Amino acid sequence: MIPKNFENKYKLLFEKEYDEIISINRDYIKSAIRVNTIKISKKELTSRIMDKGWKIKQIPWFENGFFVETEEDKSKTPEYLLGYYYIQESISMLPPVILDAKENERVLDLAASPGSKTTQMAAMMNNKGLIVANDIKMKRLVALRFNLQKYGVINTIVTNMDGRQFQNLNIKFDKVLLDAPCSNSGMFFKNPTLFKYWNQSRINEMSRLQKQLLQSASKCLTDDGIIVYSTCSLEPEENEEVIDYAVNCLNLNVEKVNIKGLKYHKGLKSFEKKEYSSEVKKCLRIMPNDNFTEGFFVCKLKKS
Amino acid sequence: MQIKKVLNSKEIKKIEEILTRNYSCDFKLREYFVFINSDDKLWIVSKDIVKFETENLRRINSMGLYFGRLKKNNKISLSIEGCQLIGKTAKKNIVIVNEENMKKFFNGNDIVGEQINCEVNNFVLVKFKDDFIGMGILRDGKIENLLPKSRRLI
Repeated sequence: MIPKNFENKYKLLFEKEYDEIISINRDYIKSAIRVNTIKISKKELTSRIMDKGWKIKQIPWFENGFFVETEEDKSKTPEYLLGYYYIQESISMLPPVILDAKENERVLDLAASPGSKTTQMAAMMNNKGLIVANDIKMKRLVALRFNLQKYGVINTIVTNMDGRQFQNLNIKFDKVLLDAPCSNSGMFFKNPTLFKYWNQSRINEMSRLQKQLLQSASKCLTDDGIIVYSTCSLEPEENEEVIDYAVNCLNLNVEKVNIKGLKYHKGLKSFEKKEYSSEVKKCLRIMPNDNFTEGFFVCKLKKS
Repeated sequence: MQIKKVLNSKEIKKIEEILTRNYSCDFKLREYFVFINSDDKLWIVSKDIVKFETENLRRINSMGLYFGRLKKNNKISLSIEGCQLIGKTAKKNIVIVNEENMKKFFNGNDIVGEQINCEVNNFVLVKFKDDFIGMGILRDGKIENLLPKSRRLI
């Protein structure tokens, strides 16, 4: 059952596409894996899973990501148990691609658990440089540590801090990934039972927290540093409004990104009575029907 | 995480010798920053981390990869990742298993397999095809399963 408030808001947000998007269910979401190149080459893994009869297709926006079709339980293969691949939503591979962390860089993953993006970045950095992977919740660190071990990561320090406190540490990072805690409303479309958890006051609360986290991230940045901000929410309050705040109050500029093969919508210029900075339209708002993924929002920011 | 001791090059060399003695491998532990935590476990970290200024970090929970645990009798028990790193060049204390025993191993059962230069009552690397899948102890002709519960199928 879709809450009335949600329906009213999303009809405004999706306009003509509302009926199409709302009818999407989990069958439309393409299952995906990411090759863990720390442990195995792409060639070796793809050859092994194709020999098992899996159908695979390269994810256009990440060279080591694949859409997969198989009757086999992907979480019970020797290759999975040994950490050769990570079962990861295809769209969640996008923020590390945009951040593009390099071997010699210092990277902060401010809200890292359960570690899908941390392990992806470690692989992209060839297990070199430094990643500080932080999460406020001790319980979630168990999953993060488990994944860092399973995927063979040696370039990461795990911290257990409130991300808002990082700005007080006097440490600078070349790049910061803020995959922010959010209302998860972009995930609702793959599982309609989740609609009941939609709640506008929680969204407003998350928006405040996201702005505070982004402020902390911006203070940790070197002079020409990069932040990638992402959420699995489609709420303007958690996305465009946060980026508008970053542009107006944190001296951050939005960088244009070009991702081959990715369909997306531009960031909104306004929503209801709020007008956003023109910079905001450079953000990527990814609807579930764009690429058959969860709904997602991502933005690349640079210090001005 | 509490670091009990950061190993110096002499101590690292001693562990390399233990690894060579136990597995006839050519593993360069010296390429990593190595430390022992309060549980006497050996952890390895990329040396790159040391290049960066991290002293201001607070509430550090963990760092790097759990590699293995050094026993008092100069034997060394390895994590799955430790096995995978050592296995690339190991020639000794290896047990090769068939598919049936590989599945049994992931289910947490003791197994049997073809022994390559194995010593009784010592740790062995368990191998299926090209993969090192974990660690066991060879005892009474069987391999006792040392796969951690969190990495098993059930």
